[in-house]
Amino acid sequence: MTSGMPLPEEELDRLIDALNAGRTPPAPSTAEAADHEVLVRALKGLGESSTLDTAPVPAQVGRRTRRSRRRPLFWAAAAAVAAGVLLGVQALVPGLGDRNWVLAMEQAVAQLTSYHGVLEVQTTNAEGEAWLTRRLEIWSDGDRYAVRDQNGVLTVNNGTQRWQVRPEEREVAVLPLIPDPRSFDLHDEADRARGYPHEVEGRETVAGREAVRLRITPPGGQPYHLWLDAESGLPLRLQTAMQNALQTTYTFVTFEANAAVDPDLFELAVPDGFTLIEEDPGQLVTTPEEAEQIAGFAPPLPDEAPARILARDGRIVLDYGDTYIEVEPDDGDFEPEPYGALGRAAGGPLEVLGDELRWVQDGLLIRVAGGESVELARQLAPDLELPDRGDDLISAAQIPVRGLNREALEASQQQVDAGSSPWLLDPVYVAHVFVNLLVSPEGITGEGEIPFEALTLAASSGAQAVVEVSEGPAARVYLARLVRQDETGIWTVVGYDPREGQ
Amino acid sequence: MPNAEPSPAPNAAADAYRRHWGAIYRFIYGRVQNREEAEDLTQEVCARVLGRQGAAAPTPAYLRAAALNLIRDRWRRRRSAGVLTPLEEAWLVPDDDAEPGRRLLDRMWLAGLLERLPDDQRQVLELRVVQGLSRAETAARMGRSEASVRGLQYRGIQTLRAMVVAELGTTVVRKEAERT
Repeated sequence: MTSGMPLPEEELDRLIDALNAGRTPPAPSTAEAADHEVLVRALKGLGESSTLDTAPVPAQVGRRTRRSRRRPLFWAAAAAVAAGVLLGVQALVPGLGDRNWVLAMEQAVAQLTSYHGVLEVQTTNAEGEAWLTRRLEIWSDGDRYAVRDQNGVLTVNNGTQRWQVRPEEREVAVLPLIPDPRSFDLHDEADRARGYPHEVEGRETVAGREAVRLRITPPGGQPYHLWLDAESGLPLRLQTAMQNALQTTYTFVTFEANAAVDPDLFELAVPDGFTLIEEDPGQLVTTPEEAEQIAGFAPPLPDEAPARILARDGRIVLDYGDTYIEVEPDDGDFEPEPYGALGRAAGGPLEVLGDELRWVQDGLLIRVAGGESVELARQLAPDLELPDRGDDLISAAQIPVRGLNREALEASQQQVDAGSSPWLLDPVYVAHVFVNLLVSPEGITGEGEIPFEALTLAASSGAQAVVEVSEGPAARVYLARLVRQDETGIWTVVGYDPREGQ
Repeated sequence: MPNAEPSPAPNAAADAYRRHWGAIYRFIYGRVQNREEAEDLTQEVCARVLGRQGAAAPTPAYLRAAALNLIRDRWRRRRSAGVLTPLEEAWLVPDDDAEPGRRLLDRMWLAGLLERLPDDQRQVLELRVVQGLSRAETAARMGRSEASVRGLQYRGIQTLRAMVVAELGTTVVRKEAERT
């Protein structure tokens, strides 16, 4: 069993093997290794298979690939419609009304302590074409689970560690506990399905068994379908609603409730001839003090305690389930993304992009992502000010820009929508062009007289923005998203303040 | 000031996803060169961008920018120093950047550098990386041992890296000269 920093030749060899196998390579251990990784990726681009003319095909076709870890999209799709793949160990009494099916399932899940089954997961697009197909063997025992895919790769989470056994590469990789993108969990889904309106739509044959089809409608969500074995009440199939042009169908082709699961499955062991790789997993710790000892800094703590805390050198993650807080020392490089919105937190800029917030506080770069991000962020930074799309940032402009042509702006927006001139989505870039045109109205040659570094995004509500300029005829440039007011809208200069003395 | 446009239809995001996911996947694949990462990143980009209810249809340009930023963010976070090397930064410059000369890891240029390597170093990188052969297959083709292939591919990448870094340095100096 070996671990720790690999030799450079070995690290490169492993990198090449991973990319050739269609896998994510291990994180580079040095800057030189990072450069090697870029060059290998770039060289692979010279090969015949580097450009794909078609969308991804199911794993069974073409070069051997390993299925990616299930991603939040599938989790979100399943969770949003509360995929209730429940197990009914009690036989259902014939003739019961709709409500008793879910009640029986709820009771059955409460009794469920473990299970073992083979799950076929197929994702199709809106045209009905198979986009991804996987076959997974699943063992679940309390909070522990193990999944083996059709390529033999085994992923295990025993609650304190997560690892992956890769037979073809003859290696065992210890992975970070968070994020852990499982497709669905029976107990979690049972909690969500409780109380949702549902109706029996009919009977049909699924996986060779007679099944009852239920239509379940979560409040505020799209309806989805669940098929139960008509004899045992066991769930046979779940089909999510079509979301983001994808629909996923989960079918248990075999299922054994309360199966005896070999406890050795959840013990990390490296088979003979295999190499152990630690892909920077971090450790689960029980107290913030332990996290501080490992990470080398004290984490800021919200009022609400996390469900779990993970730490490694230079990084701490507070896990709240669907939201997490990630903290690392600030390297001084934090700059909010220009296509996001700007707020304020801890006396400095706050970047808001969807449900992710980032800011620097007490020398730490904090990132909060998930459904409760704002609430948790406020607990860390009480002075948090979210951007307000209604904020008026532009009426202060001393010199308004006149003659804005609505048709021309809409044409530009359409061009950007089609993929041209993406720089129109960056308010700093748009302001850069504007100030250089003030200097050279006949047209800009090269990069222009006023360098890009002279401009700074000073404020952004997401709909209006102010850019400060340190040289040239304009001291401040005011911009607005006139055609569309979200992250996909182009920016237009609507006014500026001349520099005093010019 | 023109009036704001009305809110977009709720299916705009789904329509955009249907139109763009293949292109986004191909774009990301072009950068990461492996299916597992490309699938992960494509799904995360689309979930981030399209996950908001009632969001307007994102543009391909926006999706590409979001993809590059996501890759950059992921690569930064897996490093203890939290910074990318100049080569990594150069690789993540958008194709349609307003400064055409900025993307230094251009494929044509890289292919040219490969030709300038010593024959054995060039051959091992062509077989192992460009063609994707295993170490054993490469060793058989070159009439060498697997250990020899391992050492040779390392020396080849080192030589290539030195050439690329030297060129990066020259370009930075040239651009600085143009500014003054």
